[in-house]
Amino acid sequence: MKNKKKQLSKKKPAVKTIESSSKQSFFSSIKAKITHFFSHPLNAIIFKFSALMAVFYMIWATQFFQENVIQPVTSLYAKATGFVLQLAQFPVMIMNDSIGDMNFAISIKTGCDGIEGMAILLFAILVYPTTWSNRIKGLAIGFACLVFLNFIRIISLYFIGVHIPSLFDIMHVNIWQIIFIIVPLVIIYQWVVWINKQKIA
Amino acid sequence: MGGVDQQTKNCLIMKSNWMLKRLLIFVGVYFLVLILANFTGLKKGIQSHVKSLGNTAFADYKNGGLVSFSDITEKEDKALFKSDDVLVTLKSKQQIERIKKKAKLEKKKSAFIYPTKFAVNSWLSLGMLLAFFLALVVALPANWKNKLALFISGILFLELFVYFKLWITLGLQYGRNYNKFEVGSNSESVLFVLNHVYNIINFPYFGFLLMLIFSLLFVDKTAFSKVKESLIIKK
Repeated sequence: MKNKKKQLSKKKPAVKTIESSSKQSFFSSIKAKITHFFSHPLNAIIFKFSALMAVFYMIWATQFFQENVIQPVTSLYAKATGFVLQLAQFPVMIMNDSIGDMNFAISIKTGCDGIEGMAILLFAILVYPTTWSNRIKGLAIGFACLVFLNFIRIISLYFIGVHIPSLFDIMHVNIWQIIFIIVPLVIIYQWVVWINKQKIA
Repeated sequence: MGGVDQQTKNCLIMKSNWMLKRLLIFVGVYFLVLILANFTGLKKGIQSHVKSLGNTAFADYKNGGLVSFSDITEKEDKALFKSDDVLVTLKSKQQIERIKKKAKLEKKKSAFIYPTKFAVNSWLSLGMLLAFFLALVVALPANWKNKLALFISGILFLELFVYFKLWITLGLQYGRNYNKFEVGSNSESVLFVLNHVYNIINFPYFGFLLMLIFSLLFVDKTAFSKVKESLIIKK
């Protein structure tokens, strides 16, 4: 009897050990998978980038940011594009964030400011491991390209609105938004290629 | 040395060609989906999918909310929600009970139930993101098996995203009309958070970015070999 009791008492912890080891192996396998996932340099970069973009959107959606950053930027775009159109002899009027004439006017609102494209560029360049000098060059050229592209967007939408109004929504929503997510990616890609070209040289 | 320089040049030309090729594939697929959406029944299909998703998931919303997703048929609604295609009508059991009681007290045979209405643009909410994601998956450098897996998981992720968007929108609408429906929360802090999240997730650009990050995170990176050299990160 004593021997049997001893055997039983020995068996219990053995079962526990199997359970705990299987739990351990399950968690350790998940941990290993997560570690492996983030060990890929591109995944780690994308994760950092996503975290920064999440913070950006939290700030972007605040009333303070909309009133103090977005509105002045959209008004500036309206003034600048209106000025360019006036220089080109187009009789447009400028009012706050709107440009147009008696027949057609466009209002530059949140989303038509190119700020999100700039945020993508900024955070992607910031999380990529390189020198500050390369980052500053990338940001300067990238921002200039995006600002120029946004001028093209506003001017093209104005002309489309005047001459082919049926195409306005498609161009505004389906085309220009996609261009503004693809172009920052192309700039980032070209910047990375440029950095590697420098390394080779 | 001259040979190495030529090799490097060739490599860089190959990289820019590679990017151009991927870009052209993306643009081609995206435009194809846009054309299909405008000239076939794709847009209508997406609209009916958003309707059925909404009706399946939210017909009984929280404690007493009654939600229906339908076509915009009334003239007034069409004028009010010009750019949208799915009408969302909110009522609640509490509201109906209250109106019934009031009608009984006033000895009326019938009474009007005034719902709250708002509309959703199914193409902006789902269709455009789907077109973007499909074009992205086709353009990404991965094998077709991986692309298929990425596409299927992405579709599920997109469904969850649309579900979340609708859930937040309904929470906000019920919260704003709490006195009428007595559903959800009328706490100022809850409404503030819902409004904040609503402003972010209902912006189309956010959806594009979300799908882009999803694709880049879960695509099989071993197939990135052609651009491996340009993406090497030295710590």
